[in-house]
Amino acid sequence: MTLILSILSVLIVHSQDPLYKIHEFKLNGSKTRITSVCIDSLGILWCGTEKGLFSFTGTEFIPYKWNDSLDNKIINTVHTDSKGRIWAGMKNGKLGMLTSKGIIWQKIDDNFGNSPVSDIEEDAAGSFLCSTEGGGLIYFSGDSSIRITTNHGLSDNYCYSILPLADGSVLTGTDQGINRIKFESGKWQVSVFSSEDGLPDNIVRHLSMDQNGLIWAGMQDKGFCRLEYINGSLRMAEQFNSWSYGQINFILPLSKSVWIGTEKKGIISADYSGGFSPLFEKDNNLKSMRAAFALRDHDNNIWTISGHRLVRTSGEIWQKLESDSELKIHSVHSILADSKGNVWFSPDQQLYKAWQVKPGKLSYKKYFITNKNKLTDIVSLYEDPYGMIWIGTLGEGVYILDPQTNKVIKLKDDIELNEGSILTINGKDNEVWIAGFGGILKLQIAFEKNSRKLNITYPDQSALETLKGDYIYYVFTDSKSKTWIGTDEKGLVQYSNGKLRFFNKEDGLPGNTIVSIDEDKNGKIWLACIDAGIASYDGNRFKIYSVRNGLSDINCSSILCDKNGKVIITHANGVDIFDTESETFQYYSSESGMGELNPDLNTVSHGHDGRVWIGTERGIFIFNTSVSTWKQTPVWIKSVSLFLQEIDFNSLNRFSHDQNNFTFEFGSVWYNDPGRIRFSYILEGYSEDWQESKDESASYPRLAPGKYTFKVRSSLNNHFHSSPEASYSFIITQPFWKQWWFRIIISLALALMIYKLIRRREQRLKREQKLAEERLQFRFDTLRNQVNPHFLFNSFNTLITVIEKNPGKAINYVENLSEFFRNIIAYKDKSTIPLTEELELLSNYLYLQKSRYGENLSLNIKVSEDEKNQILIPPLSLQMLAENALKHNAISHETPLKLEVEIENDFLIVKNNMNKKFGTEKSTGTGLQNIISRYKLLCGKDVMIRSDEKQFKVMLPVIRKNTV
Amino acid sequence: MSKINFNLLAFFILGVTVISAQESVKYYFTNTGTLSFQSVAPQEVISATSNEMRGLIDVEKKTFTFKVYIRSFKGFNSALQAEHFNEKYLESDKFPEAVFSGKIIEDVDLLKNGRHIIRAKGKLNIHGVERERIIKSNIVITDESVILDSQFIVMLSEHNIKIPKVVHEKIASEIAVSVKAVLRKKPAL
Repeated sequence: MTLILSILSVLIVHSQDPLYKIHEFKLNGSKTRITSVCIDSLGILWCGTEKGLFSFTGTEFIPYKWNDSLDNKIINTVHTDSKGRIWAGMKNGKLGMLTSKGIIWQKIDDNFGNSPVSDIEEDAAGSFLCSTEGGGLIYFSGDSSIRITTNHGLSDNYCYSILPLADGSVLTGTDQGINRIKFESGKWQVSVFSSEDGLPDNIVRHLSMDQNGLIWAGMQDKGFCRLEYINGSLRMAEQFNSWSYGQINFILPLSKSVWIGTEKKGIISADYSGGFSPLFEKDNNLKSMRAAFALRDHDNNIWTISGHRLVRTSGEIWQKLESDSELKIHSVHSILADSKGNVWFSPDQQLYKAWQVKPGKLSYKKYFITNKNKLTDIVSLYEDPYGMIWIGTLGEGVYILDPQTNKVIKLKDDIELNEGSILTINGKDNEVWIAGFGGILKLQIAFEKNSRKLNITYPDQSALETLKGDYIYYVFTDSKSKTWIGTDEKGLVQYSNGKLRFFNKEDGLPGNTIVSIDEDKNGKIWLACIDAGIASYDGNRFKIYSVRNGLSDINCSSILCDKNGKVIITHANGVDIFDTESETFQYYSSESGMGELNPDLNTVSHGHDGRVWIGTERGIFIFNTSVSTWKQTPVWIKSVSLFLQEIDFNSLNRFSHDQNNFTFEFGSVWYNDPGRIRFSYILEGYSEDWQESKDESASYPRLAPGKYTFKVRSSLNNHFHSSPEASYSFIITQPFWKQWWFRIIISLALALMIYKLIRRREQRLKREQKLAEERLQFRFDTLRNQVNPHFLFNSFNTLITVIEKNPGKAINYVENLSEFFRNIIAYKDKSTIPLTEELELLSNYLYLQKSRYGENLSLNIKVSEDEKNQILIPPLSLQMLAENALKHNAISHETPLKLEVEIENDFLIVKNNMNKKFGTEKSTGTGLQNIISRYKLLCGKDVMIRSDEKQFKVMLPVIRKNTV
Repeated sequence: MSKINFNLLAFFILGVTVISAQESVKYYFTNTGTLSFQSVAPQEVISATSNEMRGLIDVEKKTFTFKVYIRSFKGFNSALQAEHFNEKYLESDKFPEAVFSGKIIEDVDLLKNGRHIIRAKGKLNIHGVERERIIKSNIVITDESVILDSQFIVMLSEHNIKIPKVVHEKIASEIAVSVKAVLRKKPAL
């Protein structure tokens, strides 16, 4: 056994700083000062600036739309109240509350009305109060407000900040000490705590209360002090005298430290024991910045502002050890956080031990393993239960360092692995496992306390024989004393009670090369595979997490489980944190200042304080798992546009059928890496499937009428099932012609129309029936006329005369008479007959009458044979007219009756000369009227009658055969 | 600022020198205070002094006002420089004087003789732009006088004093100011 002295080399102090990213705020290209920031209920950051208010997306500053044309938009301070509303305190003394439609102003008009607002808070009773620079404090309660000034006993009207207390009182820091204000027994009671009471400095610029209930006062000249507040009065608890960082602008208490912003020296970190040291000393911008304001966001990032710079820092979650000229921390090959709070690490083939001396400051000690000038590549570190540090090297075997005596021994030469490369040393209790490129070795140790001697024995290794000569990346013994071995290409091996059990891809492993293994708080085994992602093993089956499940890179170099249910996975481009409860990932990569890490295998270590140390090519990162929060990314609908015109979607959700082109814009924030955010959205009523997208908007043209709900979720890793949701419901109404009322009106109108039609048809039928009746009447009248006794009597008398004078002619006469009656009977049912036949009938009739009147009665027909056949006429019309003419005219030798039938301008004209009879036969007038009615019915045309003293003329419309 | 203070300021500015005897013990006054400034730029060092600074301290109320006419500064490197100073940068026709008035923060009894480092907080108005400033000062109080000695920095950008790019090498953006004054008790009538 070789004994080698280790040499203590240097003692240096290094800083461990939060990671940060600087965003510059420029408006129209010119740097614009940010004065204050606040976080709204969704987690969005709002910046009050000297040119208005802006929300920050992580990459962009979006202006808040002011409703009034305010010239002076210089905001001094912004504040989010308990209801999530944002308030802006203006330099011109106004206090405004933001709404979606604009800002609502509150102001007291008095002598102090223009005093700039310096702070806004809400007291325990829910009243708002703001402190002003020169105008004291203003309380706003409901619609009333009151200003508290020196007239009420305030020691000074110049107030910097407000600290509301649980008992309903408030403290304010002024130019003349701290004032406590409370409304008690009907009046405002003010009590002063100033240098007379032991306050180191009367100018108290900021007051904060820490988690222990102590009040921290940040002063203008004398640094900070801590105060106790008991039973309504303040008492100095602690004061610190060695402050050399100038004026304090803010004090922000965090979980493990308190950040103090200064006017000219950046941010100072103080711990609860009172030690303090500056942060960001390595950044020229930040180390001398005017740190004006700071706050903690929902992810426990700390934001601070300096001039036009908005700085996001990882606060207490992540820190990085900064290199300096003495010690370059890079290419860390192994790291170990030991049980005493020291951290051992090997950058650049050397070994260092580091321990914290004050907040953010570490001291280092350098160790030499062999001799001072020889570099040794140290790739694994292990602390055994006795505090001995086991050092595994590349090619030089294993060394054991006693940190108390600084003595180093080399592990016995005669074991197989010894000259090889040791990738892992691990163990439990008195069992130590060594694994590397030559296989795996199990040791038993025992410790002699007095002589600090470690006795090492080598138990029977036969069970491990099959792994001899293999590459073993990792070995880990779990809480159930099962040992897990990660091999190259041979999968995972479980060693238990001297037996080996092999698991490979067929058993559900993601890959067969296992580089890192750990056990979570629930006893699950977690492992990382080269190029295949990670997996958990619950004793029955493996569950694989790959890129599809949200892992950002399958090429994982180490895996580590913390006590809070988080799994920390390192890979080339950053660190993924997996939450075993929500089964979701968070990411820290270049956006968080953690890109291009290129860590070695298993360069992670879990400190006794819960912090996780990660060694990478770029240095050492410290992850404070207890400070990191886990929340789903928020999501909200930014705007709804109709045909690309933004609408007020908070009040509008009913649209007409042609308002059907919708665009939804939505948003989410995750300041650690804004580019990770993905959305999932659906328009219920339009689609059944959720769409996944990186875009912050979705469009739906030509939506049909109906009920719709737009829903959107956001996630960092496509795990939307547990994500919060934002939604907007709306209705596109049916066009009016599809509305119920329109349908009713239309059916009523239709019913009315049908009713009208039926009515009209009924009327027509009635009229037709009437016409038919008239025709019947006509026929009846005709018949009656023809068979009337007069006609027969006259005819028979004529016949007697004819028989006497000319018996031959009498036969003719009777024949005509009988022909006449036969025709009347034959035509009685016909509506029309050819004119020929009617003329024949007329001839018959006139023949019979001629026997009575002789040559005094004449008929002149001026119609061609063609037309006689073409023209139709209601039967007996001409006969009726002739009969009328005979009836009404006196016929004698002196006054002969001349009947004429002719065609003129589509009229069949029947005319006779007038020679009115005295005491004519009584006329019923029904004959002529019937002719008129029948013509109307037959052809819709009127029969015209022209009569004067000399002539009686009836014009019958010509009805031609083919028109009927 | 209380009403009394405004009155004080008014009478002081108007140059009223008469004041009642019993009140006079509370005031210390000067009109021959020295105020000098220095601009140290890479190519040129400019300094000028005024010996006409007027000042008044109310040791009971612990308020003060100091005032200097811009035109009263002497000792520039050249006449042209003085002209530029008055016309281009300070625009002394538009803003003829610089004023600092406010209150004394420190919890010390100025009615008694003694030597103190105090912080004077108030509004510093230069070039028409008012800035809230806290300025440290050494004071020595005796029965007869208050001796004042103070140094502070004025940032040109804070007072909207624009320096053309071409003379950037000749004028510093931070101007060091030094004040020395002996304030006497107001003479009783």
